[in-house]
Amino acid sequence: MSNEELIARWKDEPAPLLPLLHAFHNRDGWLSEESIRAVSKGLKIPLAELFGTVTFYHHFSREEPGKSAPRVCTGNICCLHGGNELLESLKSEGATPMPCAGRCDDMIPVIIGDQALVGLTKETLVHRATPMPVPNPGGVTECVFSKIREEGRATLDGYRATGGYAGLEKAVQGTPQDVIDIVTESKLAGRGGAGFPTGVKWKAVADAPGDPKCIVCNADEGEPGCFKDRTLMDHDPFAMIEGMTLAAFATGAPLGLIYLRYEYPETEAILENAIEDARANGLLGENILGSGFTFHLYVRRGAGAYICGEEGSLLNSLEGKHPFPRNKPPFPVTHGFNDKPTAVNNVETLASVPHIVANGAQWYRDLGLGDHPGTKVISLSGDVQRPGNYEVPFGLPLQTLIHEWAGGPPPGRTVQAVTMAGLSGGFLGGENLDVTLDDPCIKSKGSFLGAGGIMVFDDSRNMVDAAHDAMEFYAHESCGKCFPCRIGTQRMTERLNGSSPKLSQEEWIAEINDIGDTMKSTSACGLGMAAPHVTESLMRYFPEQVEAHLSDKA
Amino acid sequence: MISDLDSQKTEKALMLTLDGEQVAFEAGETIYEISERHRREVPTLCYDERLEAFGACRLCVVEVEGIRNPVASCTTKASEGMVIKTKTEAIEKHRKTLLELVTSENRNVDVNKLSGYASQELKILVDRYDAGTGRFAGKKSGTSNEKDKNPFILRDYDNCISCYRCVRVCAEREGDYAINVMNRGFNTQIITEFENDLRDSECTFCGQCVQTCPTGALGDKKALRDADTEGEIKKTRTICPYCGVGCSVDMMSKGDKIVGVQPAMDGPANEGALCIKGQFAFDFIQNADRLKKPMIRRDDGELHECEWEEALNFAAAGFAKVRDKFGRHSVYGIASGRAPHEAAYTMQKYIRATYGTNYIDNCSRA
Repeated sequence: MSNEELIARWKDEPAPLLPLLHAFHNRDGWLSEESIRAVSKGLKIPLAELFGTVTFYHHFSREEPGKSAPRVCTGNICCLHGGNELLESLKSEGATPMPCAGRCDDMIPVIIGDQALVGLTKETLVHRATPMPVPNPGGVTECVFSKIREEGRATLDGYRATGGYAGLEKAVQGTPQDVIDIVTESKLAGRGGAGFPTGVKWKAVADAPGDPKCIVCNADEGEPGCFKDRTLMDHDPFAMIEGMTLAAFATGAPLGLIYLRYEYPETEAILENAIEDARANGLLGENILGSGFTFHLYVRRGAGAYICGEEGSLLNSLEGKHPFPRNKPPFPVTHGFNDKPTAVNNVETLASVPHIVANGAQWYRDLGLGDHPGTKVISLSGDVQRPGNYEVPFGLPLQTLIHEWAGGPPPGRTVQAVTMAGLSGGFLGGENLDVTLDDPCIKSKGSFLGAGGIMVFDDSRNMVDAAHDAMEFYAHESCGKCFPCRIGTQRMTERLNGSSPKLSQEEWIAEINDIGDTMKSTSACGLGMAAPHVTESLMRYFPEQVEAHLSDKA
Repeated sequence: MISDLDSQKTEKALMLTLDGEQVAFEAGETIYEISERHRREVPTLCYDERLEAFGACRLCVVEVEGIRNPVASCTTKASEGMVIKTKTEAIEKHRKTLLELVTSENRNVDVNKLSGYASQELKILVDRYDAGTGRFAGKKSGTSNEKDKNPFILRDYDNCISCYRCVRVCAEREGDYAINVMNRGFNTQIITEFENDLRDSECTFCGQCVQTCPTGALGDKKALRDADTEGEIKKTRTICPYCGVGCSVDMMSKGDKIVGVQPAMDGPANEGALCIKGQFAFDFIQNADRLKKPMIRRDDGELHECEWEEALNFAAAGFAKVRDKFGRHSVYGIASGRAPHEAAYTMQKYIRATYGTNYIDNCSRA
């Protein structure tokens, strides 16, 4: 298609910049100067601003061979599996590294064109579906995984045959407030990590003045070691779509946007097909289920930026702006997409809602252990025998998950450390491995559960290296807006890989502590606030490894 | 006497506690604005009162009771009953650490004052917080753009601290959108589209980016020609002579020499803005080619100096001859934008009264 045809196709759509840039990127394999000029003119975005924004995204290539060159995951877990060696072997084909691509339960992902292949060596790369979660090893009742393994669940017919859309059918017989009430009573809270009560958020959007309201699904699963949303979207896409439709009904939003991370190309196709099927069957679009309510849903693909999982950045990205986080307040519930009231919810949160509406609030609350309501999908990876996604009741002991459910570390090894919240919660080690999987417990150890990514490191691993890889990721993904994060993540990385000028042990520790304290207290968003968890927990649990690191460099 | 209405208003005034002191504020004010009004000297680097608050440097963080982390005072609106502490030990330590971090990425904190209006901001804060400690040493950020040979704006990004005041002033105040941020994190770099020269961009060389830069990374190349000239910088407030807007400027001089121009941030017409002419085009004042006496082209075809009396008589005779031969509309007067208002007035009166034509114009109209 010509420049003009591409622009005409997208310019009047909601959130047009990303799909238009992708259209050019897909057509040519890269974004030429001419393409960027055409987009600038077509969408009336100042050229320098658009150029700056394009350079922000890791996966927009501005030179050939562009997207046909392999991009190899060098995330923490893939580094344990030989990601760097695989990258090296593909260098002759123009391969470049990419941060964690969200497939830590599989072999090393390599994106070529619009395919995510997996393998451990260049010769054995294969294209295959996202791994399905194994049947719940604890035999406990699940929520979001309760139907995911059913035959045909990813098709509309299969979804409906397994109880899908029962929640929406029930909901449209009642009022939006009924949906808000049941979600509030269920105590469902944001499963992307922030844990904000979903019902309260929806109520705020429903009550906020301004139209059109918007439901945004945060499917930018960028946290290293998290791959649950990918599984949910690939194998049960209609659950999330129904959840968004319920959110739209509850809040009065006619518009929905799914912000999908770049690294899941197959998922984009799955979602597009699912949306089309739902639309064709009166489950999206105008007059849904004959109830008179309207909800239009679109997929927008990111282009490689962890920070776009931060809701302010995500909204700026959708609006075609430079994806810096936004200053809060105001919050998205009043000033979200295009400054209109917006509910930004994680995939898992939304996928839980149809089950909750169909089965009731009490049912969901009772799924958790003790006083903890509900369930959480944990993405478990690293040095365990059966990595994968496990839906656990809140309150399950971590040791049960690692040893009984996932088979424990490789034979002859012991668990040295785990990460929490992907990387954002830092490490847990020593006796603090005896936590239960719920925020009150994990927060009491100075960490948090977050999006539920847990990486396991056995006793053969060098934890300073692991901390370095984590901090290097943060430095790579820091947006560059606020000073403490922009400079702090860089300085921390240098101190962890020994490239900083020689420091005494006291100086090293004092610098790391001072940077960490200031990052935690003054950073503008969660990235800068979370990153010091890595160094803090490294020094707390593994002081002898830090000492060895410093004496090596001396 | 206080009227009922006024006393009602007083009762309803919004109040908060600022470092233990009860202070009144208006709805919509930020904590920073209130703190400034009460002379709390909250440090900033990314703040420019003319721009939308951005919240990047985090130096202005303050403690607010009931909020776990310090908040950026520039982006946080005050609310009734807030209890704010602007200068606790913890806050001051964060500020020092932040300044040490900034210093660690920068090649040079000490820049010439001629660089720009705000160019000393970083140095002043580093001195105030004694932050030139050399801690946190490591890679430097920003790469100086030496290939951009434009004659006005120095782009020494070795000294850039990524506060984006230049990008924001260009967009929010000048409306040029000529520059932006490339890359992210520690690799951010201020660029035009496709990393071109400013001359190939939308830049109009208004110089506002130079004047808001807090580190001298953007510098006034014309003023910096006199970096080594002897003498203290003296600033003289005047009005830009170029057009009818009447921008307030501070002419900078060293000894008898005019070395540069800075916009007056409190200029009522310009609030710190200038255009390329007002900002950079002052060389004519002291140019060696500038005429100091009138000249007449004699029969030999060369220009010769003469006295004013002779020159005016010669010109008058020439104009009279043209008018008599071709009529009153054969004369067209264009006043110089560089002339003061009084001269412009005299010029139009001269054209209208002397020749009987309305063919009078001013170059500033173009």
